[in-house]
Amino acid sequence: MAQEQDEANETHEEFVHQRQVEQKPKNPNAFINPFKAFIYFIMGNRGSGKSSLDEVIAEENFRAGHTVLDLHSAGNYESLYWVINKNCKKYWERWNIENEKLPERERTIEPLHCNCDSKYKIVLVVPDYVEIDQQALDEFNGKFYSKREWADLGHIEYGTLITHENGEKERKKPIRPDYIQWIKVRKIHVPNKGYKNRELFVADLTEIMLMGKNERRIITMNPIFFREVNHKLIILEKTLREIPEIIRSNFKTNTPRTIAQQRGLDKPVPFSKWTVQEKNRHRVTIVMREFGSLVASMLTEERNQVIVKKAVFALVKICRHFHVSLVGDMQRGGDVLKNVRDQRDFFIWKQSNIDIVPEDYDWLRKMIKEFRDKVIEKVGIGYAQKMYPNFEDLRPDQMYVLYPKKNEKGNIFKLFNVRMPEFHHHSADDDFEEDTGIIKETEKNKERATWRFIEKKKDGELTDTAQDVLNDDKKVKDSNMDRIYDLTMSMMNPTDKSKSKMKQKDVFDHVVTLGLAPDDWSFTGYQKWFQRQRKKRVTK
Amino acid sequence: MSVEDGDAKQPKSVIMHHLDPVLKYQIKMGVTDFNEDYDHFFLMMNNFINTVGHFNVWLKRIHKRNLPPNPRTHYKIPSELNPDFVTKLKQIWYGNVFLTQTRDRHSQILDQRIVYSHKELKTDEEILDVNGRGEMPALMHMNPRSKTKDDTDPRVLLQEAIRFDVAYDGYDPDQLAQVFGFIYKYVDGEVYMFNSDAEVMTSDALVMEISREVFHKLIRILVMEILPMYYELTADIEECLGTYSLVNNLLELQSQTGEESYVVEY
Repeated sequence: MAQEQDEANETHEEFVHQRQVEQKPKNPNAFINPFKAFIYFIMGNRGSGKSSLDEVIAEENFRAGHTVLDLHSAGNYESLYWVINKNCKKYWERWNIENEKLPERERTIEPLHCNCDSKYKIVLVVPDYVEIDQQALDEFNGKFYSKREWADLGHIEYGTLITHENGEKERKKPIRPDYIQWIKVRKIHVPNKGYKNRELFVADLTEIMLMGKNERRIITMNPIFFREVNHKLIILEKTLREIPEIIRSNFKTNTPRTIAQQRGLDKPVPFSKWTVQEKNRHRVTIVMREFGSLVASMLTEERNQVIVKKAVFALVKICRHFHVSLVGDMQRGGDVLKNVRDQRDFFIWKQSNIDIVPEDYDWLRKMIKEFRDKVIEKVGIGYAQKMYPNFEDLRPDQMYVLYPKKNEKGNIFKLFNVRMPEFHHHSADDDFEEDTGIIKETEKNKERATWRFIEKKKDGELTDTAQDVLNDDKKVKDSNMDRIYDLTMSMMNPTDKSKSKMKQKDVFDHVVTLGLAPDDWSFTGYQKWFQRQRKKRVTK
Repeated sequence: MSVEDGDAKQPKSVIMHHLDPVLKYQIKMGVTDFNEDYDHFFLMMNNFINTVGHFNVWLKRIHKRNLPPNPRTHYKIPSELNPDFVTKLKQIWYGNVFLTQTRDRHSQILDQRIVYSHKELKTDEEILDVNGRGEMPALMHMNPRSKTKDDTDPRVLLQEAIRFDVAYDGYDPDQLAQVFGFIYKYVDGEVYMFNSDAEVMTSDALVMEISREVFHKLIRILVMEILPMYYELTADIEECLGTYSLVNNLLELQSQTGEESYVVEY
């Protein structure tokens, strides 16, 4: 018995060292290593395949057990395509067979294309003022049998007819017992002024992250679901700032004992018997597409972007300690704050024109040329160009990976061919709303729309964000009124005797010019308000 | 430097023996080319025969590596150079080839060619016994020990004996005596060694000195036979070396930069 206990303790203690061994890759040139936290920055021209590479890195990490947060992308649902499979792989396999049947002259070169043949479950994170029709989600998730499928199963009548108390009749569609909730929606509080709702926000985010971890879902946000750009930025900022603590307290590293508990076993499970997912269950990958625009070194697109920049800067410095891998892409290397850029582990170069390559990486261009010249001497220019193409000559499926330091094979950089993600990669021609039936409400499509921004919940209460806005408006208004009163007093009765007294009409015009006066104010209204205020304040 | 050292004729410079076979054979072929360009035929051939010998040994060893073919030309390095050419080349150089002649009924030569075995003989062909053993002399022995250019001596000294009637074919006894000095000298006078054409034709004598004219005729026949094989084998060596260099470099480069997974193995 004592011996068994000793063995169990040994198993428990030794896994730390075994995990260190595992972190050392067997193939040192490989750069996607789910067993370690890395920062990946991807640079390249528009359309060079940066975001598909973001997705591939995140996909590999997700498969190996990471929890993936796809936090930032263009506002075209791009970050939701994890849940879409258009079976492109099958199409191109058929295309290839057909193409090969053609006479050689008529054959076409296979273009670079999406290669999807699977999809992933997602948690869609939206602000609390977004309402998505459950029916639309159910339809997409395949919750119900279609009429044909139901008939094929041998049923005569489709669904069940239910009569409500008020006499209304409703046909309940038959539910597929094995349906998968591909999309789950979770609402998150928008941090309010002064971040007074921090507890709520952290609770939301923790729940979302645990859902992602436990249900193996990609956690994703998309700017289209934010009514204001500011909300997107503030949620992003607070998410980045809160993530380390949420991970520290909720994403504990597994141990032989915890694995045993999870599996319902008595004895600790030795590290060698863990699944890859169990080994990496505590790890998190954050994807930020268009990362360059978030941490721009010069011009910022949005007024509040600086808060995200600061949050990113804070995160990149510590993310390794919290098992967080970061994947971001940028169009121009020089656009990104150098302090952030220099924190990278891997800098990945997709096809890049000379003008977007930052000057401090010109050495790499020169090194590539030197290497190519050496190969030209040995085997000629054709192969040399294949081995060491210029940045601008990289094919869409090629990339240079710049390592943090010379790896065991002595490489500081290496050329790789990269695959496409296995879910559908969003292209310019894709329409998420058509693909999924999750359609944003606009003035013209109210009947078809399945999601919308709301002010009030179904029970008639204001959403928390709407309430916060209202409160903020009221505070702003109160503060403005105080300023108007003080201005009127000081301008009409200046303490400095050398200054002349202003007429109340002129004071009113000045207040209007400053934009402090309420929209519906007339001069008379202002005069009356001022009289009332003076009486009130003098009495006090 | 001591007097002894000076006498030992030490070279002023030494061409390095390269361990890289491509460099090694590039130098060897360069020497051959130089001798070819500057008309040092025997030096060229001697060098080439040795190169072929070394090269064949190298090819045998390289063949065990089973290198892939040249991706551009699809040429695969053979286990040896064209064995037919190499054998014939060696037969010509070291001896054991035959000169056959076809003659008309007036004994005028209609055609002549080199054959490598008696089996190749056609019905009308006869072998001309050049060296007394029924063969042509070895080409390496045709390298004259005397000057061949800008020399007024009508004879050339070889390193292999030639039948007298062949060596002085076309000369009458008078010319043999006057031009070549085939005369017995006595105290009381001189006597021609050969007094009639029949005596010349039936002589069993073998000579190392032959007439310049015959020398050039024989050399011409052998050179015409050997050069096409030399050209072919040179091209083969070039192709072997080019393929070896390219394939080796490609293999080396591919081992460094080959298609590799960018995801760690687990």
